[in-house]
Amino acid sequence: MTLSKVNTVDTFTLQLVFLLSTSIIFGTPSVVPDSWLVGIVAFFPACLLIVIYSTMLALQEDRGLYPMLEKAWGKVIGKGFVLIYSTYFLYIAARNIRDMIELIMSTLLRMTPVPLLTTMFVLLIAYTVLGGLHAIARFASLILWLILFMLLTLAILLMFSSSIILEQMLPFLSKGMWPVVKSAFSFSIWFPYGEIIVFLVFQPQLGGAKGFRKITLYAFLSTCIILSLTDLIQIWTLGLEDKKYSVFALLDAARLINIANIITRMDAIIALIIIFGTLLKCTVFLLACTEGVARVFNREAKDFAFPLAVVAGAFSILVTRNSAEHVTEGLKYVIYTLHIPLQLLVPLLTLLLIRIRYRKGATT
Amino acid sequence: MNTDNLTTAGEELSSLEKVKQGLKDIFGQTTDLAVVSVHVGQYEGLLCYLTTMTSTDFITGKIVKELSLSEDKEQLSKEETFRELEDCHFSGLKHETLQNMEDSSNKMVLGYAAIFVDGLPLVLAVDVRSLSSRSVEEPTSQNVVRGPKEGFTESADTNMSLIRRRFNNVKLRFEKFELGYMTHTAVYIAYLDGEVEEHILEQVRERLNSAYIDSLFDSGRIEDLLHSKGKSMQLFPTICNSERPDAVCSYMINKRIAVIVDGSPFVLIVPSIFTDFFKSPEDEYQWFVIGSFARYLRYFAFILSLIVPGLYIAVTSYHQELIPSILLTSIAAQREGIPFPAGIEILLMEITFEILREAGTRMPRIVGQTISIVGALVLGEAAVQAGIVSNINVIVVSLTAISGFVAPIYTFGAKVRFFRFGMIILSSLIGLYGLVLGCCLLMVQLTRIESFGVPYLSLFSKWDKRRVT
Amino acid sequence: MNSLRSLYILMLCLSLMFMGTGCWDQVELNRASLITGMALEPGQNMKYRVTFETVNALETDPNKGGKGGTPTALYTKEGNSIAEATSRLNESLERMPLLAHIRVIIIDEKLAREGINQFMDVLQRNRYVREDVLVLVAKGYPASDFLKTVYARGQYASYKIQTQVETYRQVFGGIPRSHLYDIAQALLTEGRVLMLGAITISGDVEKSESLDAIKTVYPAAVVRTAGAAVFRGDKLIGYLSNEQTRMVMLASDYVSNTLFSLPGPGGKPTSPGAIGVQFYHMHSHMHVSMDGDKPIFKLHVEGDGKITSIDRNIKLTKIQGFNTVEQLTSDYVNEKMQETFTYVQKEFGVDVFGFGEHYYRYHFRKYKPLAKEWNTLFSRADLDVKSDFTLRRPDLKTQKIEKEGIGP
Repeated sequence: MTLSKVNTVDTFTLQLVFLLSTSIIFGTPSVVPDSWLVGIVAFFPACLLIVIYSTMLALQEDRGLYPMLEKAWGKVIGKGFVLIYSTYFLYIAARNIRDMIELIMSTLLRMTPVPLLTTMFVLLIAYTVLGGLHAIARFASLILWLILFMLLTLAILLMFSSSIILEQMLPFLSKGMWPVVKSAFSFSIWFPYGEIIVFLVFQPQLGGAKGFRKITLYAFLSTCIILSLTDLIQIWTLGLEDKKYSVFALLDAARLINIANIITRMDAIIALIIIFGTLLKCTVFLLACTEGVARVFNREAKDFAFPLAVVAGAFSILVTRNSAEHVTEGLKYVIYTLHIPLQLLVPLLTLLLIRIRYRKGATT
Repeated sequence: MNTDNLTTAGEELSSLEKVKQGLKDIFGQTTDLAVVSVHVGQYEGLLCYLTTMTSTDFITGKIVKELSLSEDKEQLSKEETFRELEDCHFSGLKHETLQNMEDSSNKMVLGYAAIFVDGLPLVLAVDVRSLSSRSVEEPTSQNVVRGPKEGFTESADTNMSLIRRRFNNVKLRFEKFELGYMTHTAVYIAYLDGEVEEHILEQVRERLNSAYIDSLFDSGRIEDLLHSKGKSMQLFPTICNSERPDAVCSYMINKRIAVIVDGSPFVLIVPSIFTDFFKSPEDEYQWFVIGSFARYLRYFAFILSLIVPGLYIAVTSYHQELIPSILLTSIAAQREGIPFPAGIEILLMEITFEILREAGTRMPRIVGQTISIVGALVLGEAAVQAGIVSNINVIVVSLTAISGFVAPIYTFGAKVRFFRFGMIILSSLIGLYGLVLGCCLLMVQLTRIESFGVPYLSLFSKWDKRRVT
Repeated sequence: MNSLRSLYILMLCLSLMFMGTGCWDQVELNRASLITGMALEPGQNMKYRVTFETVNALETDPNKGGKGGTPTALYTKEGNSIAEATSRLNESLERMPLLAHIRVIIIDEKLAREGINQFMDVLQRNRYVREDVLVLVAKGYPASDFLKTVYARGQYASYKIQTQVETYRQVFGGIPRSHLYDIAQALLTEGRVLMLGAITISGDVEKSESLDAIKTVYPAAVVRTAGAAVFRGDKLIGYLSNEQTRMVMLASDYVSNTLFSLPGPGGKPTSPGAIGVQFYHMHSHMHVSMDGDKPIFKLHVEGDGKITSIDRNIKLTKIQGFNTVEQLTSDYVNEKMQETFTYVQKEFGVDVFGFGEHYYRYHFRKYKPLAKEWNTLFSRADLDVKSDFTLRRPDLKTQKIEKEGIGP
């Protein structure tokens, strides 16, 4: 693999699409009335994560997550952590595939067997992974335009079918600020913002600590704006009250489009957004996973693309039985047992260890 | 070895009889070999050439006349006569001095006349190539309304001159390569020195030098050789071709290399990126708004020709909820009583269309009309009347067909046609999901390809250091 | 070479996979039947009796003209839930039913009085049923009768009803927005009362079932809009007339296009000298405040329009003329609005105007303790209507055509 760097704009789009992709639909928890605020509130603590990650990178001359772990924790424990992270990335990829399949099965298809859909999708992911980070970044920029274009179309069509009623976002903060803040801290920081940790893996090919800090900040900001806007659109069309009951709020909003009985039922747009976005997100996770596994077992990363993709596909089917289990798992257990330790605690400890060891090295 | 060669070479040329014998050994009974006894100065000589590579006018006017002039000269040695010929008489023509039979015969194949002097171990090869070739005409596959009407011809010399006369610039370089161990076809690369990236140039040179093929009759043959090696199969063409000198020149200004193959009116352009296949030189000759509009229209048509049949199938047989009710009832009314499912119906008509197209291209031009009448009227109209296919199907297939031909570069359109079948099959199996996955695959493929290290499709290419345009 | 071979193997596997199984979700159009309308009635043996209108696509195609058959066929099924009735449709229908293009769902009056929320879920949950399906209440006739009326244009009954209701709402505003989606909103939103469009039939339904009915100039039976059906919670409690509905919709800012006919100087609606004013852009703003435990509603209505007819002598060349007509319109609208308001207060005692919703959205903390008793508060509230109309132009004549003297 060439170690030439991906250019800044492509890195930015890659991160942006990565952050946006699934969270546009599954992003904000609808249990909170003013969910559009959640994203904005979560943005500020999320910036702390950028600080932690970029400090880690700066200390390690931009060597990437896996070497960093090995350096901080020693060869054996470090390798263990690398494996844990790889599994973690694979698991998130599997969850995302499941998310997408859920949406597809409740919008486009009914009877087609899920394993078939998953297999096709997973093969596509593996093929994309084989293209390497440069190709993925270029693919991301293509996807970004598509997603933004579709969102814009959606907003405009909703406006023309006079479904957007600004009044529906009232009453503002009817339950106070607390639920918003709570939901921001227990949910939105970790998903989507915290997942940016996967980009630490690719740092040798990206901008390094300085670039990371800047690009990620912009990516977070754009994500925050776009997510809040889509959330507002959902609220303006569905109303605070109705949004609570829908499984896919943006999808329900799109269903309201009706211009002169000709342009109706834009559900498909949502399905497109989600397929494109999930493809990219899973590709990034899988790429990170293959690199980790390859590092532990001393093989070429490319050898793992197809097998691991198939594993992710199988995971996605086996991981839960029904959508309620899937959502509960995602909202509760994953956050407390996976996201918080692996996105915050382990990096913090690693940072500390590197600091201590580095100082020792400097003095002796 | 070397000395051996030299001695045998000297041996070969020691007398005219031996030369004749040598030529006979090399060329055999070929009828176009002319061996004429002439006087070179005061000495006996032989003028040998291939009649098929030159014209009688040229030989009599330029060579024989000069040779007869040399007879008047005073007594000179053989060596001096030879030099005299070389320096005075043929100095205006491209010539070379050779020392053995093999070289001379190789030159003769390229259109040189070899002049032997009795007993002198030197051969004077004079370029007498004068071939009849098609004159410069309007290009047939890439037409413009506004813009130069010249097109490349089969002669590489003409083609190079067409390029050179557009660049009155010392930086224009031509380099010659010879490909095909049977045909020794001349291949030229043209580029602007200083503009073009050195590493790309190096790669092109290396690939041309290492190419091993038996014959080369059209530039299409070396497209595959120029492709990036070691990459998995590519669904999109990464080498653009053009019949228009103005187009080639505008590519060259944008840091590209043109590859001219003798005998082919299609000049290749490397490296090419996705957007090149949608540019027509005409876009730049008119108001930029109209030009850009035309270009975006081509992109749109490209997308249409890719997905319309697939979308039609997906929407009518999988996702009826996505169509407006009135349209759906109208489609349903037309599909009433059609025996085939939508997928089969579309496939049937698409294949029919492909056959029609193929027949249309290969048919003698006079019969072509019949094909279009039989195709359009009899097949289209009658099939609908007979209730085998529906009206809407015919509309979809024709829309697709027309959109498929909008791409200015024919080879690109040909590939798109191929993908379309993939899309049709995918969407008739799993509906829109299949179609979207198909599109994703193409998009991934598009972004994965690198042509000579240049990303094939990169939206932010402006920021890319390796950019071409 | 190697990659090519693996590609072949992959393609072979995929094609085998597909050939071995088939196209699961495929529903061919010529093996499916579009369901365009649904009428829900209480059943005889089971809970519900559902009538489905299926389209005979060939007969609706104006180009092919069909074979002179009816454009639709009705099938009636009973079931203990709507879903059950739907799934039993194929007991009598030979094709796959496609629910995605339902245009109208007509609810029988009896069912509506029992409460509609007990059966709406299947329609809201089903992804094939559009969110903008019209849900209407059948006033005075069994719901299935509405699907039995045929029309001269060859289109099916539900298409006619949908277009008619939407057009009527746009040009006059005499029927509420009653999409499937509006039901969910009305039931969920605090302070909003569910109102659905009501339709009725004038003419003889029995005669209208056959195509002969449309071979006359005067159709045997015609579906007519009948204002709004008012619900308390999800139970039907009564109807508002077309004109009253318009006033209610005007108050909640849903009318933008309408025509007012101002009565002549006699004061009675029939007295001569009526004036017609057409409005194109109408807006209304609400304001709610509490005076002790009595709510005070303020309503401000604005409009922009023209004069379409004027059957008495008012000169429109002068500013004074316009002012007079504007004043008359204001008075008329204020009076009608008050009338409707008191009627609703007295007859129904539910806040169909949406003052409660307004209070809930803008003064959440004040509304919260009152939420439960809002409808009681509404019944004793005062309404203060202000209207401000602008008439821009008089069309083509400056005044009524009338001789004013001798000579030009």
